[in-house]
Amino acid sequence: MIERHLSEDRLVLLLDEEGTADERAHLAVCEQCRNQLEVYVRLGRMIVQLPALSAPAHLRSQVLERVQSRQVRRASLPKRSMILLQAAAALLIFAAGVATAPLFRQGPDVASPSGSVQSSEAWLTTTAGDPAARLALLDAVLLTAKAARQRAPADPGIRTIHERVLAEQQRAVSALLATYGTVRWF
Amino acid sequence: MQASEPGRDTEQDLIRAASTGDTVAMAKLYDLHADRVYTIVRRLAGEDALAEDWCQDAWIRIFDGLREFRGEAKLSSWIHRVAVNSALNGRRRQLRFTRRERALSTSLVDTRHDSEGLRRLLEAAISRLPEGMRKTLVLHDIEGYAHAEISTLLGTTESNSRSQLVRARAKLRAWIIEGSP
Repeated sequence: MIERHLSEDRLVLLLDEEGTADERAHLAVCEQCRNQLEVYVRLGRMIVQLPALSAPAHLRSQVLERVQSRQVRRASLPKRSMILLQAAAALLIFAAGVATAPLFRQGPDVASPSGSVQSSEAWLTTTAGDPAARLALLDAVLLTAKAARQRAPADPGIRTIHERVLAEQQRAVSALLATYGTVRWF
Repeated sequence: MQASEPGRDTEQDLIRAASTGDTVAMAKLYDLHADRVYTIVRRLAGEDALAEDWCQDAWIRIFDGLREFRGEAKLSSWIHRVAVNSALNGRRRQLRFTRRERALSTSLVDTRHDSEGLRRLLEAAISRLPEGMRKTLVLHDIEGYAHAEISTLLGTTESNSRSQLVRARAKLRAWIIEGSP
């Protein structure tokens, strides 16, 4: 049997555990340790019996308002998607235009694009094709991107597309100047 | 957003309606489980403002997750689990220990001798426990989680969970029984 009093750590854990035979034997004869354990037992009972708290009334309206504002945001997503689709469609038209430009171009031959299955991103940054045709198509895409940005000025995706197309259009102007010396509009 | 139809108030109907965005059904689900969610979140948070933020997060997760709820567990158990996870993953705010300590000292003087006061004192004392001890004590002693589950939820070990529980109970004993905060 354990002669010394049980440590507080052991007493606390005896709420959940049966304890060793020595500990049980000590508790049987030691009133002080039994009383200490009883304190923990009563405390544990109080903790378990704590009643449920009441959610504050204002929390209900906060939660439901937040849910509704999320629904409103989600409902506005299709509009944003349409704008993005419009911009993507413009990029595809641009890509198709670049692909077919050599067929209609007059003047020195220029290597055709390396394949018909290139992404819009690749077409946007390509240097292949007729620079004049490319510039004309970039202008068309830029008009669409600008209109989309006016409709959704805070949309980061549309802003990025607009800025990318604008930058590419400026590069195309530089490329055209380098090729022909002056800009030749169709 | 559409409103719940009269009579569509079984739990399954409410789940189905709420998962499609029916705010009336959401409100009904909220009313059914609000106190239980608030209780666990408030005790884990240790303070009112934090608890309210975490409760909002929990309810957003609950409503978002209803679409994936397959009914394998009871809805109340699933909601409880989402609330616990939300609270444990909740964004930390600066804990206002000083203010809580002052409030606890006052309640020690005022409410020692009646059972309602004792319960309030115990709630206040649990709130005042350091975060790790508080979470372990709430999950183990009030919510009935095993040390293995707690160690997984809190990212600790089982022995750490046991140690936190021992220290939490000892602190509560000192505060509540001996009155020495």
